[in-house]
Amino acid sequence: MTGDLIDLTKAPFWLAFAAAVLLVAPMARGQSRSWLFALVNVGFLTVLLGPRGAAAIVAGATAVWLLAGLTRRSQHPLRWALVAGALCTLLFLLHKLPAVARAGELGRVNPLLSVIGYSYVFLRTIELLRAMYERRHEAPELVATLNYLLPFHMLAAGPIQSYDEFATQPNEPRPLTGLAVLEAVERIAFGVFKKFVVAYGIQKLFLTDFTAGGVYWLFEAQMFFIWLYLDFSAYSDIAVGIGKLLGVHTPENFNRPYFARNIVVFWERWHISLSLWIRRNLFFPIQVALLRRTGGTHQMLCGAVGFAVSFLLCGLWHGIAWNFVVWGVMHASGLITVNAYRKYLGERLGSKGVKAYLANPYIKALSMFITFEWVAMSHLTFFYRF
Amino acid sequence: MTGLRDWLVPAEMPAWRYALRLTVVVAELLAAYCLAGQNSPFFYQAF
Repeated sequence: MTGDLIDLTKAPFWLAFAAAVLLVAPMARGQSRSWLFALVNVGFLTVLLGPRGAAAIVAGATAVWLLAGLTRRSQHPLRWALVAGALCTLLFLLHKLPAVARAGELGRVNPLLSVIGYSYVFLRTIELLRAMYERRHEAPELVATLNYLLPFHMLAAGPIQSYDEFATQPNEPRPLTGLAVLEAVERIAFGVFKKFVVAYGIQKLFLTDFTAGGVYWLFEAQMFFIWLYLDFSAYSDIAVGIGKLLGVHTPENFNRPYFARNIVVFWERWHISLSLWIRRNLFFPIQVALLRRTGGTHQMLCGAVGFAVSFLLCGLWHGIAWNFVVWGVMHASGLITVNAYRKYLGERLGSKGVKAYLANPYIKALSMFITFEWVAMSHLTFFYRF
Repeated sequence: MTGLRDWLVPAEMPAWRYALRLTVVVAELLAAYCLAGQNSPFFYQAF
């Protein structure tokens, strides 16, 4: 077991990529595709973690598969979903609180969880369990569960595929044309270039981890936001490109987030797969439950509570510390304010007035600037501990 | 392996355009390769 993070400057990731392209992409069809992709995923884990580490991860995924099956087939689905959810949450807490894990003599678990990017695996597991609990799909086979939870190209930093999307993707993808191959390779190369050249250049030139004195932090906050987008979207580009080559659907994660005119739109364009996960699994269920409870009155309040709880939990997903709570509060308060302002504008200006207001280029530019700055300032919480 | 020839010589575009796009890909990969050793992991891997 190495305990290293997945490193795209080292051979294992690209060997897994080459193996997947040779095995999964051009020749295999139907059920064999699924088996071969699982072989690549487990092989990648074996190279990364050693046989014992990989066996532990596969055993964990097998336990999820068993519990998901029990949730789907049992007369008491809630019971099994809660057992599985509690176990996965316990692992998540160990992953986020390594000191607690070490104190409980479970410190050996942490490197394994870090390597596979357990924060993302955890969200996929919740998706799977919820789909089984709500009986939206048949219980998956073990191979499909491995491929859903542990796809080698989505381990390091997502995207987080929805289980509905995974379960309904065609077993036999469209044949790859020369143009499709070129576009996929271009996407991978662009991602690699963005990370290792452009983002690296910005990091080297402008970023100091906020250790520079004076008001440089204000400039650095802008550059950090730009760098973060380049760094994060680069990985998504690589993952999406690999997915295109393999015929494994890999969701888009970014869509020009700097052009968002408010924070609601920003979350439709930034880390889209996480945003959709929050919407599906936290915001809508909370909002719907509250609306039912209040008989449909207090819509704004129900939405506000939904945003507050969802983004507090999203903050804690990043890390269990006060600075991430502050991050969550900043984003939730931004979302609540935008919703309230939208309502105010609608009441004050009417639909024609709102249309004219939205079309005003100065207001648009100012809105984009405020959104950019709000998000840029929220990133300071990654560096300043409270 | 019928797909391999289609991959290498796509029918959808002129050869010069294909060669140009491939050149850009190679240049991007080469530049990235030169700097890869100095890079850190992706930021969101920390979470």
